[in-house]
Amino acid sequence: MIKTCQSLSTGFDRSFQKEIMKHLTISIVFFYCFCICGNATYNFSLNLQDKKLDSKIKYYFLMMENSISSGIRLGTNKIINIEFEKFTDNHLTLNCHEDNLSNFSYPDLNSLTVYVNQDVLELIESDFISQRNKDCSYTDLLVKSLERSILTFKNASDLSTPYSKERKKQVNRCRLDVLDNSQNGVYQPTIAGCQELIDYDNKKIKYKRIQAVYKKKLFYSTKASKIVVDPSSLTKDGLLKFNVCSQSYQPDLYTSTNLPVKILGFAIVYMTPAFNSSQFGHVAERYIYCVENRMVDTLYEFSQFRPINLNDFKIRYREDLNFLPQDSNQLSPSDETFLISLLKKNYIQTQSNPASYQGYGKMQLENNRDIIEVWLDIDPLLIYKNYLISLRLYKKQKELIKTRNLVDWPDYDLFNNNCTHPVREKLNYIGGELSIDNFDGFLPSFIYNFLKKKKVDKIIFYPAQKTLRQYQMLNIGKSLNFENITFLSSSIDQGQNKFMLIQPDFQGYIGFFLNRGAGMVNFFSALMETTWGLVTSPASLFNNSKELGVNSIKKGLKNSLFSLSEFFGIVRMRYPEPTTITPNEMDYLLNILPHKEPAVLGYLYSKF
Amino acid sequence: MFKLILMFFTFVLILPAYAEFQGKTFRYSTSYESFDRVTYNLYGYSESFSSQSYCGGYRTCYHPSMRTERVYIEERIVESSYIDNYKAETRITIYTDKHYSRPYVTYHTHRGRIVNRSYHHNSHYYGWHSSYNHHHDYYYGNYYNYHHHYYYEVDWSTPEGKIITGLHFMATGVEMMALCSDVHDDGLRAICMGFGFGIAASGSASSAQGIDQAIQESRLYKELEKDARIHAEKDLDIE
Repeated sequence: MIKTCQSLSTGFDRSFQKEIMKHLTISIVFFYCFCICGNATYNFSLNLQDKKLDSKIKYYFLMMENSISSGIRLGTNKIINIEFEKFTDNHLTLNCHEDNLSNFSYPDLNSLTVYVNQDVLELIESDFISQRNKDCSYTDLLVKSLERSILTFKNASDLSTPYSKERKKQVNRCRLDVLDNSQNGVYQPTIAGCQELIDYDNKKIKYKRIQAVYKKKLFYSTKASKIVVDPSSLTKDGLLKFNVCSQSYQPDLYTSTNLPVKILGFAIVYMTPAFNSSQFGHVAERYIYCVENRMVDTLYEFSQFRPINLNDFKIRYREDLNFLPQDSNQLSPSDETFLISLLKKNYIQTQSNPASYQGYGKMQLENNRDIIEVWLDIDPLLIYKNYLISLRLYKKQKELIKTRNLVDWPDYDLFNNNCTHPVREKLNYIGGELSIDNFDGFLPSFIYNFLKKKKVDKIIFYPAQKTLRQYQMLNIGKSLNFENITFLSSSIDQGQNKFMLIQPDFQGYIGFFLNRGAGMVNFFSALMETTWGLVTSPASLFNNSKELGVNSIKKGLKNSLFSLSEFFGIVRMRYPEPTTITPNEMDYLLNILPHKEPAVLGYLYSKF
Repeated sequence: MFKLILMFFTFVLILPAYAEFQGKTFRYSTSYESFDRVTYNLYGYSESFSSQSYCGGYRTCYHPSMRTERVYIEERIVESSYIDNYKAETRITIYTDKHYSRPYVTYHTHRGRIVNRSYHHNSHYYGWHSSYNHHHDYYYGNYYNYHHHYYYEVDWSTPEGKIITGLHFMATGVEMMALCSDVHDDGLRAICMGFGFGIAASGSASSAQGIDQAIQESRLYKELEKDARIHAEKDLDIE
């Protein structure tokens, strides 16, 4: 009996040594490979040969570089030279047909150079490059033409295109060959040409991983393909720069004063919980329509009247309020009392051109707040009826201010009348699959989770500072492996935010457990901080440091309390603080981003 | 000593920069229509639109479709002095590009009235009257259409610019004074402190001037702002 046991255990030992250790070693090697690959050098760039070009053109081409699909950029990973040339007989037109692409650029296979039509320079100089029609813009055409030219180069490829059946078979054969050889201790293929195929396949696997897994983690979505990331709201002008309503159109309706109106879109805007903002998140409504040939792009927000609304209130209702004669910004005593009594009321605020720095952008950079718009796929007249509900409430608010009527003014109530209620009302008015029950509409995040699963036109993600940094890392194929660990993260400036050890920003089902784990780790690290404070309190009598003694005890206790909220996961109390914008980022925001077209633009044009 | 020399150089470098943001120029942009409406209310002057290609003299050359185009306005306030041979209080120039490089027309105002209008016929302007007309139809095609929105550019001469730079100077001055405390020689320390104080004082003066200027800032600008607000509010009501 003992003998058999011994032989069994030796057999187990042997098999352990042979099989398990081998697999363990391989997986460790693979892990390190992935880590190294994750930081593989990114070499793709568009190199303008003519150095004397205007900075506007240089920045435009930097934007182009970002606009080329990530599959092509990572698959090609080379410096592409750009030359400008006069194309004879080829005039640039806004024709979205494939044939028109050759009028924009053509490749020179010998020197890795793409020749671009010189007329493009004039278009950029005069800002006409962003002109578009229903299907495409000049910029779209140029991007497509460049992509097509780049793909003709040797070793250039698009990692996002799936394999053909034949290629797939070849890759599988090579993989099997490596597997066979690995049993003899050799980790290389013997079939000719297999090494290249496997190298490419590795790149492709990594690309897929980045696209699918990380996008899903990053962008609060189960269906990453639906989401478009759009940082254009960080520019000064936003959507306003584009003259959407100048074209002739068939109006959807006429107003009572006989003005033609075309309804373009209706979105539910979800603003995530963030640093210094509501811990429950926030929802609002965005409407875009044309009146005559003017575009109206407005955000209706319903929230509690707070001191931050004071300025808006004074400016918006200047005509209806009484100011002191000697000071144009000081309200008369009776109006001042009226204003103070508004503090528990529900306040409707409209904001024009929300997707610009003055609107979303400020929140994205100052509060590290992600903003997501869900553009609903519904009939224009239904949108109009929804709009009227909000408009009438807004007009009623104006009347109430005129008459100083507090009795009819609705109170704000965290459970019965908060920002979700108007949105729920709209969704239920639309009905069908969008009708929402009290549970799905209970919190702003629930509403977003409900909507993203429905058939909607478009979901646009406006990334916060931290998310934008992570998105840019993804965009050049960098790994996000350590982004949740604060002292290793590069998207929150490496440990400037020492208030938590692990950021509980994991997404998905596993994320539910990981976030609780992170809360636990944070709790213990906060306890350590408290203990450190206790230990160093004698020293702090002689040294006025913030990291020692009572200060540390206070901070530690506060942090441990907050990390409990992360552990129980009811309401998270802490979100990463935004950090200083680097000069490179500033350059991107001020010079490159303004050339980028907002993601919603194409959607709006498609409505004509 | 080295620190002191460094500080002196900083001061010398900063001085001309400070001198540069003197003068009152306002830059903002709006739709042409809004500009025309407001100048009518404010100065009793309005352009009549016509599609003719000739302009200048008594004729106006605003094409009807230009109403909705975005224009960039530069307003220079010069209280009752002669500019370009006209006695004027303000000079308003309309540019067609945001870099303020293509002037289109200039107005002079005096005692609340527009007293002179002159067109800029220069070669690099793509106007209705120029040979670029065809080009205009082709690409321009009513592209820029801005309404009820305008922006206020912060440059050094604007009140905001002055306030911001003023605060910056104050901070620099105070910082410099703090650094001066390291200087061991009593005499040198006094000089250093003096420089620091000078910078801080000039900063505070600039800020004060900026605030003062912001209070009496351009009437036209304020009217445009009001006009924009009223029209934005009007467009919301599509009942």
